[in-house]
Amino acid sequence: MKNTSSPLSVAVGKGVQGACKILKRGHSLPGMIVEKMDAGFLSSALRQLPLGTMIVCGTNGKTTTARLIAQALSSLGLKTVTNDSGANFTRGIISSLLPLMTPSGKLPCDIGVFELDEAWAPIFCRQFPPDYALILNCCRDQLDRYGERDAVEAMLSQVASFAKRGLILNAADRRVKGFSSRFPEAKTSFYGFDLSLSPLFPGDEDLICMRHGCVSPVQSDLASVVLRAITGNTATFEIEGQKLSLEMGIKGSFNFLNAAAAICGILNIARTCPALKNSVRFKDLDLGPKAVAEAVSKVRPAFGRGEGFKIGQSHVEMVLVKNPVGFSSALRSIPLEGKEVMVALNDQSADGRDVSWIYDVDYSNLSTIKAVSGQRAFDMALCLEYNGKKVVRADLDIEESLMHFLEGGGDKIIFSSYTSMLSIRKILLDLDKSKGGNLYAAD
Amino acid sequence: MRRIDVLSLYTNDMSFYGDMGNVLIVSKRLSFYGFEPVVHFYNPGDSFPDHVDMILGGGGQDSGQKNIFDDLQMRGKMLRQLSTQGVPMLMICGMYQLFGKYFLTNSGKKIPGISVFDVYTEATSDRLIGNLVEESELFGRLAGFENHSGQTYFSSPLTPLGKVTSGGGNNSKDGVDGVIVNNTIGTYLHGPVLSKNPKLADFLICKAQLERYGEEQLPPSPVLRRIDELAAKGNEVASRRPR
Repeated sequence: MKNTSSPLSVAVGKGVQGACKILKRGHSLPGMIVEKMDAGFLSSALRQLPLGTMIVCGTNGKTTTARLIAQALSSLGLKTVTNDSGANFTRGIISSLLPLMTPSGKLPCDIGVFELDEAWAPIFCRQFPPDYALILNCCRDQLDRYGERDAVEAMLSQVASFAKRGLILNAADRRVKGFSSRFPEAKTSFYGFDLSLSPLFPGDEDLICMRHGCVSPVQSDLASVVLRAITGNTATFEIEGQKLSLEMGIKGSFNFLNAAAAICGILNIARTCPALKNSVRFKDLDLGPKAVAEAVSKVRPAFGRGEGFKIGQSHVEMVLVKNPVGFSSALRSIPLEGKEVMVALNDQSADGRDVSWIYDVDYSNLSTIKAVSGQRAFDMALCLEYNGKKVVRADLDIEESLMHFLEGGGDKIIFSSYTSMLSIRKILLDLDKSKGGNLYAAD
Repeated sequence: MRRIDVLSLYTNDMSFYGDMGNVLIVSKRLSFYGFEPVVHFYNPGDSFPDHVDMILGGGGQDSGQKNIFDDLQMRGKMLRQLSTQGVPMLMICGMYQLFGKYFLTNSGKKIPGISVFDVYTEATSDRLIGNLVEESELFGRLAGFENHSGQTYFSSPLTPLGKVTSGGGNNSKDGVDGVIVNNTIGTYLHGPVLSKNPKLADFLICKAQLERYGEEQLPPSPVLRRIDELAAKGNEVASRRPR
């Protein structure tokens, strides 16, 4: 077995990457070209990683969870490669490998952690069965792309079946908890939350049933990592029976559950990875529950996911929302008192072309919405009005709407779908510079 | 206050594409018009309310359609009678198909519907997904989103809900969407359909009022002016979005 990748493919990939940087073109293009010319490139590169590869999959929280794991592993002393740009197709992963590879085709890293799009994950797994798979959840999402949630469930279940050494599952998701690996030696670990926290983590069924009370919380007594309690920004985890309270670097209780997933994932690696035990290089690493949980707690939010900006006298928070469960959890878990609220909704394919889902969100924690914008501003405003909320202003022009929203000081929060988030984020970054303020991660 | 009983048919299995929004919209509009809306959520095995003025059904996944199959067969005769009596009903996507004669699966199996509509549906491999816009004689321009792999055909001459101006509709050949029989409407429009097409909501409410109280004219509602302005703008935007 060759232990390098083709130097030619690396050279072409790096060349295209250089050109893209100059031309400010897409991140995925170099990966796409290398994938076309060298079908075995992905596996030839990932095969070199001594601790293996973990993929993170599911409808909500992939980017944040992959980031929590990758950054925690780095701070614990492992050289980690990850697709932190959010490019989560196989070509995006190749693009993230290229800058780290040597001209001779070596990938000098210890471990890879990649978030994968639900539809691309099975394709990835067939090319390169991962050592570890972490499946977060299976909620209704992008139905205009997948047709049905059952189709997404089938894809995720297939991904789980490919996990060679370890499978990490959400015990509180009624669909995900039943998945299994086809490899009998793979160790399955579960994470979950305390039942007292279940109002914070509604599933699709709960959102539909809420109005006539048929909610039956899913038990997570299988879980080795349990999110037990939340007080402000402090999360209490029970990890293999041991309780630990930590001040978290990320915000929102749904992210604390992602942290439980990350802790569970890293501990699974620590328990099952043969290279960790056999190699001298890794023998001094502390991958015990406490060290792992602390490393996870220190990670900062990912791009557009609970990021904070300082604009003049205002602190502006940005939260990505793209499906009923994600939006409802965000509204239930982020404190909204004293904050002015803006909602932006686009309908590009990355947002979901069908906006019907907004009617399945639980808006009970909102009262007044100062601005509603995006291509489907009127759909959103109408939905909020029917839910008994007051919408001060609704218009299609995101920039104009945002400027109006930013008038006056105080704390502000923006809930936005994906492509509107990109536009808003760009404006906020520009504004921040022009006013001489500082961009900082939410604290 | 005058009460109107609305039944949400198979809420748990057949409200997967935002169609619960129709229930919210109908009950809010009823309140704005001064009625007392009472919503009954009906699922397989539940007892059926003694009196129902309006029935709303939505789209579900194939698995959801399986879950409700037996119960729907059992309730079929009663639902046909209510439709004939003029009880207003709105059936979206999956429930529209099941209100037809049958659904022909890919493997050639005929799954019987309850024959409220003289239509049948055939499974196809190309799913019609995208914005759907149509012109309706009764309700003007209707805008929403369709997402279905079953294609529906009329077995006899019937009145469609609208002529498709953009998108698929019942199937990729006929250029029409939905059907109206008595006061029962079937359509592939999600959105939810009543959000950007309030005339359709008011039609259902008028007919419910007529059936129960013998009057058709709705009282004016100042609150609805703002809501319907937003709906009109939303309809305008949706009708211009690419497929």
